[in-house]
Amino acid sequence: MRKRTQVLIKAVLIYAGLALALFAALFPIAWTVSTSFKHIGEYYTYPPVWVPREPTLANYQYILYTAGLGYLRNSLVISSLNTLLVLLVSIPAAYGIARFWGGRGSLPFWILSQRMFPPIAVIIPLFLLMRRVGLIDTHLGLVGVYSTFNAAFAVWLLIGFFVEFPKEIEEAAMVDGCTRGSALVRIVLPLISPGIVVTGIFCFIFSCNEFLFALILTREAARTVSVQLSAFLAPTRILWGEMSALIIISIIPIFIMTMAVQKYLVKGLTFGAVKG
Amino acid sequence: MTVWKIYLSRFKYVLPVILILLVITIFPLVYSLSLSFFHCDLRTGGRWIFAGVDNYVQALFHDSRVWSSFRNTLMIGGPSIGLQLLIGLGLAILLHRNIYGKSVIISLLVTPVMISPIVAGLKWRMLYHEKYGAINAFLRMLGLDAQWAWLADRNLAVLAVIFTDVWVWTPLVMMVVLAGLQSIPLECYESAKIDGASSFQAFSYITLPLLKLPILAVVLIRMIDTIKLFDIIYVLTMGGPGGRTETISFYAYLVGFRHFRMGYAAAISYIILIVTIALTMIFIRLMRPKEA
Repeated sequence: MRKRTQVLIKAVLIYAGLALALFAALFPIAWTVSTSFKHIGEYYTYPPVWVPREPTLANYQYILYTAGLGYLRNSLVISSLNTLLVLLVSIPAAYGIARFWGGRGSLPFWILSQRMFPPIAVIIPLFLLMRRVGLIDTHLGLVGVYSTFNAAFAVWLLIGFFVEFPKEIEEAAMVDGCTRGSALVRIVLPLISPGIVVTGIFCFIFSCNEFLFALILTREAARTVSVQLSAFLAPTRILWGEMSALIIISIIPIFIMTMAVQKYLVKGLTFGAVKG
Repeated sequence: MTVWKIYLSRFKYVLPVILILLVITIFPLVYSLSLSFFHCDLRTGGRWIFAGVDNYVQALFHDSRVWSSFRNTLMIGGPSIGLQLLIGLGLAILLHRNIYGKSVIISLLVTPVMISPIVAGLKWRMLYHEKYGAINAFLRMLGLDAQWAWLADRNLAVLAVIFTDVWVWTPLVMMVVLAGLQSIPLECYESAKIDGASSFQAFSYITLPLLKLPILAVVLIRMIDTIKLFDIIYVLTMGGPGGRTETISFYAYLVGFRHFRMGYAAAISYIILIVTIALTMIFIRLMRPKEA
């Protein structure tokens, strides 16, 4: 009897702890959802209203129709192009390192070290150079800049997938008359496509979430969602409801993608420093 | 085929990535290094005037804001990483067992990491509002007379930044520790039990030592991130009040892109780079297995 009570108490404590953690993690998101359905009178009410009494879609209408979709499109275009470019250059690189250097050696470390550089050290020269060649406020500029830190990351993550892939399958294809290149394209890539998708999703999320480069290297034409969000912080009256609506619209795709890569989260977020 | 030819045929796979990294990282870093030895002020035309080591001397000995921003980074990063480790470790231990709905709970707990820091900062800025924010409203529900200006008070603002950082990054620590826990073989615990170890002893003599590597790795990653800390500061406090939350990366940004002193900003960014490399080397040494 005593033993059972102890087990019960332990279980209650565990679930209470997890419930508390879930509340802490999700409350800010819930508050944003709630704010996105409040009209201006309601989000400027004292004491604050927890659940909107007269829920309204006006904020979403403002974001989707009045404010224009320019920056949503910019984020989408920049992140997609960047993901494509990064996969294009990092798949052969990761393959080469995995096959010819056994996935080790100084090259992957050198690539990874790119990721450690404080961005502020790179952005000053990039800003000056891009200003000279007219790349400020263009999609191309940001796609290029994002491709470095994402390429370093993608190579690193992909090496793992290539190393795990059995060499024998590839060799069998080469015996049957494939060249190394066609064995890679026809045999290896289709079989490790889950790994490529995971890498692509991470690159996409990272470029969507990036702020510092976007802030400095864009003005109006190529402005991304992150920069647009920070622009809501007007000195006088902040449009919290409209801002919340944009936040919700921009995090729904990210949320879905996160669910898709959940198994690889640790590996991705620590650049393979920790195996998930 | 000669050795060189084989080497070349292999090298062509890696070449595109190396080219990109050269153009977008190595070249700018070299450019930035040379820039740091010049005065280059964009407000006065941006001509390069040779300065020798003036910028470095200025930053290290005559600019108190460099030192105070390093101190601020430490005052925010230290407690923040400590809390992340404590909470992350606790949550990982709670999750390391058969729990109903475990994978759903983990997906939900992880969302703060995947949302951009900008969005996280904006959410918390709403919550911190002294009149319309939810945090003071909670405190008032508990019976406190909370009209606290979380982002305008000298000490509360530091706490506010720490809490936001903890909210964003604790799930990462949790996931890393959990992955570490799952890689510890069960036999270790079984033999410890046979040898008569209590569960506390098993934890401190088996679990913690085996978690050392993942914990060091995640602390290193979080330290490098803290040195880069910019987004949250930008939307929460803009370095205020009175420069209390001005981190080193934020200060470098102000010098470069608000005051437009590019040469000086380049010098500060090189100091940041050197600190980062030093920290990384110390940690990699700590992580290397000891030769017995």
